[in-house]
Amino acid sequence: MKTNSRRDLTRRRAVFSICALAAVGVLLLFVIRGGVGGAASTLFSPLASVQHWLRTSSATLPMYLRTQQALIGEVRALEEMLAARERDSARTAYLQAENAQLREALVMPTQTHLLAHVLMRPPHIPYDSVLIDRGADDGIVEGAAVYADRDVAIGTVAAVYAQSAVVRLVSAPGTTATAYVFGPDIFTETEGMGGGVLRILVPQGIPLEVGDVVVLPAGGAGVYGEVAEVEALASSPYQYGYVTAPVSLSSLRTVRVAAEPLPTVSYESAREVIETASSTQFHVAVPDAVLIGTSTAPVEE
Amino acid sequence: MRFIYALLVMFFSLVVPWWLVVPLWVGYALLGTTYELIVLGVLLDAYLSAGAPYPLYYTITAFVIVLGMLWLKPRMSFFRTE
Repeated sequence: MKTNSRRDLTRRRAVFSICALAAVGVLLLFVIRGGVGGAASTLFSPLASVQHWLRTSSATLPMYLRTQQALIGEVRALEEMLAARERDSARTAYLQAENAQLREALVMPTQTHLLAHVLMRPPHIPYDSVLIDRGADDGIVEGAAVYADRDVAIGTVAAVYAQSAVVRLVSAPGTTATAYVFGPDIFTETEGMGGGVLRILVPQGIPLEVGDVVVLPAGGAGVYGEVAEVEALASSPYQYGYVTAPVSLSSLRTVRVAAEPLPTVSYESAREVIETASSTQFHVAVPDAVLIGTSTAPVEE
Repeated sequence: MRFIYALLVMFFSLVVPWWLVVPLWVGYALLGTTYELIVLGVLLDAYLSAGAPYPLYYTITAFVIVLGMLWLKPRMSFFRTE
């Protein structure tokens, strides 16, 4: 019996220690998360960089550790990516020039963007966040917008450490944003649902359909995505539209981060962004010598 | 030796998807009363959960695993000493 009571006492002490440690941890997370996060970044940033190196580097050891099939798949994907990039290079140059002109017209300062590699992304982490390999040492600031393909804002920098930063996606639970929906042509609020999905709330009677294009005016002129599903219950005065992310989060490899925090966008600026998005959707960078029938193209006789 | 295991667990907690972290931590918790798992959970939540309203996924997981192992191990024949 003495042995049992001593064992019980030891176990009770262990339970108490575990509960106390967890309580202190939770308190730290809610009170001084930034400080604890900074200390954690000192520990985890090198590890995250190593795992990124093992996954993506072409050095001997990472290559040896990856399977042949994975390498073949990677080569094919890179070849396809290279072919697509070569096709789009002229179009990109045209769009960049037009974007610069439009930004001047919108009185929005031209921002320099920093390219950052994604170290960790969903589903590796349970939060709708992305860890990038740029931090305060590289000029990353909190609140800066983060862009994926085609000037589409996917989130903002939520925490900055010395050599890394955490980007909170616009689709993270609890995050809201203002969106414009083409089709019904309405402004509405979005709510993050996690997993790269936004939910928009629209009153019944407004014709919301699958395929309606959604733009987030505060994040630039890029199209965020399309309505993938509409949920309309007859008993509810509202209908929900679910908008999927413009890029697959699991394949997100690089992002561009603005050098300054996201500026406040006025309603007038938002309207101009929307007009830009709607008027440039079908533009293709055709060289002037080939394009026939415009005022700038020479006409062959 | 346990320190090396702890470092390996810390590294693989970042490498593997979050849902594989659970069996990894369960395996580590079989070594003993691993308070450091809770510390690791708190640090991971602080590092990765910026902006999230409830930054407790890793902490709660570690707490449940450590407490659960404390209850389960005396009932497992592998760990019985009598």
